[in-house]
Amino acid sequence: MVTFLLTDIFFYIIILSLFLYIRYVINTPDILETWSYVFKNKTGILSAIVLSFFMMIAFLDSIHFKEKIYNNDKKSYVYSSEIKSLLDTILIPMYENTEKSYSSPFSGHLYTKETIKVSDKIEERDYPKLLHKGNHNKYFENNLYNIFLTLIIALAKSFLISIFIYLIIFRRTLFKKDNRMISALFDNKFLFLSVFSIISISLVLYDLSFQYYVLGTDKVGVDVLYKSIKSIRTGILIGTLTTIVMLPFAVFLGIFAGYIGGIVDDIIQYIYTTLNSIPSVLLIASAILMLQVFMANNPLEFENIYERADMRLFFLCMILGLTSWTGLCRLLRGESMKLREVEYVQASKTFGLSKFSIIVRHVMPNIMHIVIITVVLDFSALVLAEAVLSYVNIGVDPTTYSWGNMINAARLEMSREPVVWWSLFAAFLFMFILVLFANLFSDVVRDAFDPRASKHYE
Amino acid sequence: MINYIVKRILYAIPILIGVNLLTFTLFFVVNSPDEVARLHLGNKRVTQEQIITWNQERGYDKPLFYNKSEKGLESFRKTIFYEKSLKLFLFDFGVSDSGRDIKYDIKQRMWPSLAIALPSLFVGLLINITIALFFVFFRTTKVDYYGVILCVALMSISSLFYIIGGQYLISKLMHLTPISGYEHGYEAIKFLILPVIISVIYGIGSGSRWYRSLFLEEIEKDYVKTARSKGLSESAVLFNHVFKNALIPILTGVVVILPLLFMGSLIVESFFGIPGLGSYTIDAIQSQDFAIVRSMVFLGTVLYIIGLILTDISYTLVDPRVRLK
Amino acid sequence: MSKLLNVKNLSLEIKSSNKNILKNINFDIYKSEIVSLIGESGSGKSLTALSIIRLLEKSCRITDGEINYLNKNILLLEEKKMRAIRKNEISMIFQEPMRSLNPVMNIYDQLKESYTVKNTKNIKKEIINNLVSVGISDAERVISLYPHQLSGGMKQRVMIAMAIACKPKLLIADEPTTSLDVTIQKQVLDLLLELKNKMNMSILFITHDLAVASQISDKIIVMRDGEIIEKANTTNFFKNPKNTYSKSLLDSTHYLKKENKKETNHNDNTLDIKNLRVYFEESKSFFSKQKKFIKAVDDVSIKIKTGSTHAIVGESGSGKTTVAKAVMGLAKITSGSIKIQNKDISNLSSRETINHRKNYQMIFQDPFSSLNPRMRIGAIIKEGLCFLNPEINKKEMDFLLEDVLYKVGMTNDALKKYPHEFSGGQRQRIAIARVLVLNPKLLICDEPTSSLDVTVQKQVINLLTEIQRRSNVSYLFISHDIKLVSSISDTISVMKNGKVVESGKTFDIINHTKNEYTKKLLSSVPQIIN
Repeated sequence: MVTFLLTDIFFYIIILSLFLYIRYVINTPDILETWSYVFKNKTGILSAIVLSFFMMIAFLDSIHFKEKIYNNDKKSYVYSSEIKSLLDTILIPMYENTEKSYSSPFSGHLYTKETIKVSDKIEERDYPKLLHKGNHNKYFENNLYNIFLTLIIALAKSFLISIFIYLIIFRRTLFKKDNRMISALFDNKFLFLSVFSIISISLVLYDLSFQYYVLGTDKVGVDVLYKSIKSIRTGILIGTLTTIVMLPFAVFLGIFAGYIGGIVDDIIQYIYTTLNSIPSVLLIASAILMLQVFMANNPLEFENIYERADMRLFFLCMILGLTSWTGLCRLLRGESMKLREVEYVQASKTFGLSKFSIIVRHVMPNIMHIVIITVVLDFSALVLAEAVLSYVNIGVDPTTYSWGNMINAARLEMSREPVVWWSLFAAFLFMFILVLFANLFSDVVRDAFDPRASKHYE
Repeated sequence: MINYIVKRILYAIPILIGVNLLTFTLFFVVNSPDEVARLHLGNKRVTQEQIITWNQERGYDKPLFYNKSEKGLESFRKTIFYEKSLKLFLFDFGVSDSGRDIKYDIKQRMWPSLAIALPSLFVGLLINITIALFFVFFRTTKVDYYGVILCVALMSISSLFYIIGGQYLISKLMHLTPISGYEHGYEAIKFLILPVIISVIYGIGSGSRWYRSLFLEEIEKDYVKTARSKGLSESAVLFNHVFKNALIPILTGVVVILPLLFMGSLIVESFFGIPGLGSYTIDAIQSQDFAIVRSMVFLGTVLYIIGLILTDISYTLVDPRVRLK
Repeated sequence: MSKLLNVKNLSLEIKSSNKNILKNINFDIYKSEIVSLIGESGSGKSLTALSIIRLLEKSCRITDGEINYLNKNILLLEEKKMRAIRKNEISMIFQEPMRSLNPVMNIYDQLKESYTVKNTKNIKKEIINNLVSVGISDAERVISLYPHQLSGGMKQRVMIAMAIACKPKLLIADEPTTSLDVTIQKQVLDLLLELKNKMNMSILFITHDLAVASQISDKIIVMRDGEIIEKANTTNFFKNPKNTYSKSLLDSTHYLKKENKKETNHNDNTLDIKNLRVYFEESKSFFSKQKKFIKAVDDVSIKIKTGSTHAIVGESGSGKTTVAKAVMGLAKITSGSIKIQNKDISNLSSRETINHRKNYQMIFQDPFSSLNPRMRIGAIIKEGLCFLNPEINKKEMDFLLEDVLYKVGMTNDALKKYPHEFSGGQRQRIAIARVLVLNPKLLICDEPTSSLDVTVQKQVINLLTEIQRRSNVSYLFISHDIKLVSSISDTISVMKNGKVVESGKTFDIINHTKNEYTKKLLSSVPQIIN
């Protein structure tokens, strides 16, 4: 049975609006030209692909369902209380198996010695073998050979898939539509190369994780790679949902303040200066603390822990959004004030157009570039903020998979002897990749949409 | 000048009132004091008496705005709003939920915070400006191109990794500095070195990239061409003209955060066990001591507004185009 | 005379596109002569100048040629020696004095950099003398000021002082007077001539204005699309230009005198402005209740007869644009009345205003900012039509659009395009189409040609006269260019500081003005000397 968590619905809305925006762009030549600058740029296309790959994972992880559990008679059934996502069914090799405790990457045994019963009488202290992976090699007994062969096979598979994709999708769009702009976008070897590398990296990881814990296991024996992948959804949601929450405030208030001016401007300015004066961490902390009290005292009707954790994630995004709209609002106010004096707006005034239609027809389309730059720019900052907030215990629910929670746990692991480094490493790697490519992408987007800034990079 | 400062301070009052009302709403209206008390006492099986005594001990047992049982002015003064919110304007922070004098704590803890934040800021500023000038000198070459990418990469690493990594590498593996802790007096230096270094390194990515773009924005302006046409050397152009103009936004950007340095850095302090205001705030958040959080919100706002006023004043000092109105 | 500078086969390209933007430039400058480099925007005249002083953007590359200064190829000099040349021999003045001075350094510090000797006492004396020689009488006061405290003309004088400080042998002046008012322009030109004679230097003068060039220069070089198309002695050039493009350039400075129509039978006024005042409140202080006003327009009365053209002439800050804005309802009227077709526009209800609005429309100065870059041309032209004639059906609309595009000399396929696909002249035609489609009785033209190249300017002016001949529309023509206005208008008002100093029939004012200011304006306008 498909179930919809609150954040799922919002995430669908985000994906939908993304598609609508893409359609709008394709139908608007001048914006398409701006975007085609982004996609002709090597950094731009690479980061766009990496980001959309992450988005895809987050999307798969946002289709939730409950499994049927059949009773003994094999006919009647009940729904499991556990909520799984489509991603879980894909990641079954990582999802299903758990060990007892820590084990290092590619290892065949636990990280700490235990007393093992060899036979009824003899006990010895040794590293216990892992239950599911690490010593169930498919091809060779020798780990190194086995890993190498798995790698080769995975690469071969991804090569075949890439050729398939190339023939089916790329060629067809090229021939079908005689849109020079679109074909120019895709007529790019670099694009194909980056798709290929992403496919091969993920296939290698996937194939390896049938036989090994590629990034080890954590304290309760859960695959760290699985945790890191599941954290993608949290990161992406915080980066996107927050912006979606704040956009209406920022855009409408900013435009009204700037375009209409007068008392409206004074009031809106007062509101955002006041909010802006409070150091943002403290404002977020206070709001979340109060939310915690509220949730503790008003146990809303949650079916299970998943929905509760999801609710908290949703509220976190709301609060981050409500406290972060001021910057964009100020930018838009300034730009609308400038636009008010621009001659094409003056020309429309001489036609007697109402304020509202001037805003819709002339102001909105000409501030969109600022909105886009800000949305892309904020994304990485929000992903980074999640980690810090989780560290202070005001982030996502401790049961939610997130890089922040992983780092938080890693703090203790790093002071263990010998050190357990792979959780921190995994969180670092995934977060770094997402944030790095988001940053690179935002650089290219800013160059494309803000010609003044672009000169610096030529 | 004085006229202007007075005016600016007057402008700040409505903002402080707004912040005050906002925090009051957040802390006392969204959740009633009873609910807060219940949370602290452990939710389940809390008797009404326990809640009442908990509230009485901390002064949360009064009505929010108007006390019917008192007469005259007292009916307004014996309320939560007056005692917990209005008194903040007199910097009377009251007592924390765990019974400590907040004002005393703040006075004690702001100096260690400053001891980390001030050197971090200035060393960082020096290093970032140097790197940015280096980029600008090699602009449109590969040095600049890859330098900027490196900066983006540095920016993409969460501050937590810098701290955990730095602590592990320098303190745990190389034993160069103590892992955490603090002592007063000159002994403090050995505890401060690592946090300062880490804060500086963390800031390099975004800082030098930002300054670089400020320099580049100036370097494209027409007056730079005039300066070159006078036959000035590249370094004279860079330092006498570009640097002077770009310094204005840099300087005012620094001035605005100067007062906030007292608040310290939340994470650095808590990781390194520095008894500053940052770790104070974090501890308060983690133990849900709302009295401290409330005070810190107010203090932070006041310091920020002071920063804004100082920024405006510093603008008039460094930029001849700006005159006080 | 000996050769000072010789440019030989100079070619230059933009690195990213490998497109040649200067092709085989050849010319000489001899000692103490003024050479004018003339061309429209994009002709490569500024790039030529920047190549000589070697201050090109890094995105450009010189691919071929030599620039010989005193028989030395300065393109081969190392940067250090080139710097010495900039310091002592060749200096340059730029177009925008506001942006060419460092905003945070005072005049003294900036001028000091132009001198080599670092003896502070002498330098101060020398700087003051220098400033006095460029016509700044209170130099003692000016040296401690910052650029923003000076007027545009003063700034350009400071720039000139800076450039001549080293007593250069060659001065490159890149459109030094373009951003200045005519009266100031004349002063600056006179100053340059005087300095040239006094200091015996050569000047490479870059301009788009043939009249200015004719007054100042010994030799003329015409450039187009990165090539030199004509080189000639000034007198010969203006008497007998050889190249067709040069001819068309020269042509476009002459406007056909408006044929004197028979005194129109209509005696009704399309526009009747009575005692118009527009005051702007200065940002009032927080403490003092006293309000200060800027009198942008102060007691202005103007009448325009049906089918005629009235021009408002004035320098920047004279309030001429504010009058236009007040008529269009874009600026709030403080007092006075504006009647259009005998209807007082301030008394109309909002419904009546909408009905009335199609009768008076405006064409803006800058065609690059007057068309919304995010809208197709069709939507831009339709905007007013849809709003002011909501009952119009699609067929009529299509017909009107086609018709109006034909009238402004464009074709139907423009409708689906975006503004950035058109040149400045075409954009101005679109802007004219947008208002023309409403069939207005009064058109307010706010400097409609001042941001266009001269040849395009003429086309737009011709289009406007053509439209008037056909549809009997009245124009309120706002311009800073008294020469242009004198050839196209029937009546003129001269404005200064918000007041009309003189108004009347164009012929009378141009030929027999009594007003001092108008005389000054007229005498400042550069005329082509034949």
